[in-house]
Amino acid sequence: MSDVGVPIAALPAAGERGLPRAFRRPWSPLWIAFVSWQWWDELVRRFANAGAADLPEKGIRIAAALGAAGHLAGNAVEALFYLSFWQARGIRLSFARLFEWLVTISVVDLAASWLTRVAENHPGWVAGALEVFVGLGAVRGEEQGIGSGFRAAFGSVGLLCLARMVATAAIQRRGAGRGWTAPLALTLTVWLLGRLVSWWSTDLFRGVSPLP
Amino acid sequence: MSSVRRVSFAEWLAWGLVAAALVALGALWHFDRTRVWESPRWDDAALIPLRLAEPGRAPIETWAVAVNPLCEHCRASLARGLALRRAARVPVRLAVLVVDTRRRPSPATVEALGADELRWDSTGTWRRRWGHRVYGELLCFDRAGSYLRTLAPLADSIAARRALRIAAALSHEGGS
Repeated sequence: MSDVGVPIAALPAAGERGLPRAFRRPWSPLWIAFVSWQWWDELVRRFANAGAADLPEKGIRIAAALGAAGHLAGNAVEALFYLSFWQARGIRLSFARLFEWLVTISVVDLAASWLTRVAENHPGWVAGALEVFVGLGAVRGEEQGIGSGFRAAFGSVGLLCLARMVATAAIQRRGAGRGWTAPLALTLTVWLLGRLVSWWSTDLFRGVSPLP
Repeated sequence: MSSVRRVSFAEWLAWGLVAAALVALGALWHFDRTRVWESPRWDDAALIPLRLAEPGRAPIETWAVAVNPLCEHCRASLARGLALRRAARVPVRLAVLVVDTRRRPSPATVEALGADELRWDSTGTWRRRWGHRVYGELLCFDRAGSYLRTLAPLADSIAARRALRIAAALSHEGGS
């Protein structure tokens, strides 16, 4: 029951009508499992590259599994965040469908992570060209590393990051049946808050030490 | 389409908690970033020598790897530093600064850390007075023990190549 005495179920269920499924019902769990496995694989490579090669392989796999689970949990929290925002405006969206879409859209982040590794392994014009997509501060070079928390948080602003935000806003726009303004503003706010938390936490973690 | 539903008390509370946590984190960050830290010195009285370098030709610089003996990552950074010095043939003294370790490291630990020189940060100077927090980083000091720069941990080939560039420049400088 809502505060104004209207049963929640009576709220306009725009999500049921407007927000399509990313996949047919039987395929959804398989798709989510596949994307999670891709994240796990990417994290294993990233940890191995980042010096964890000296650690036992089992440790790397467990850390990557936790990281992949963290990504899924992050998608769920993000979906809940959008859901509560739209619900407060009287628009019901389906959590399962929104979550499914956010997992699907996270493939763009996966591609960015993969391209960043390619750019780091191919300094020169290849790295320069890929930086437009993955962000001017995402690629670590021989001149300097990530260094600060600011660069760690905002360095990945590139075309793929913009594509992810537009896709996230587009799916909410479809579900809410509204214009572009509110979904874009909401998505940008959520992204900005996430980046701020990342910036400050990373700086608190590193102190005055530079990041590799 | 109706938009009459108000935000409940629980939702306000949740949003308030999120906002409070964000403000608290921001305040903590601001306090930490505006704090004035001491400049590191290799001859700081709080660093207890565990093994001194053999007397010989004075190196151009001392690179001290911040090592927690329990951290595999630190040992890997130290091993890469030693390999890099061999490869670059640079007159740099590679040292270990044992950090975040309350008890004096055992002789076995000292023996296991194969560096030219070892000092134990017995009072938490590295973290509390210098403001450094990342294990495996390399603090570079000049001949007089004054701080020059910090290199990120030699965590991978990219970081190692970055350090190698500096080492090569030093080698050139030392040879000229």
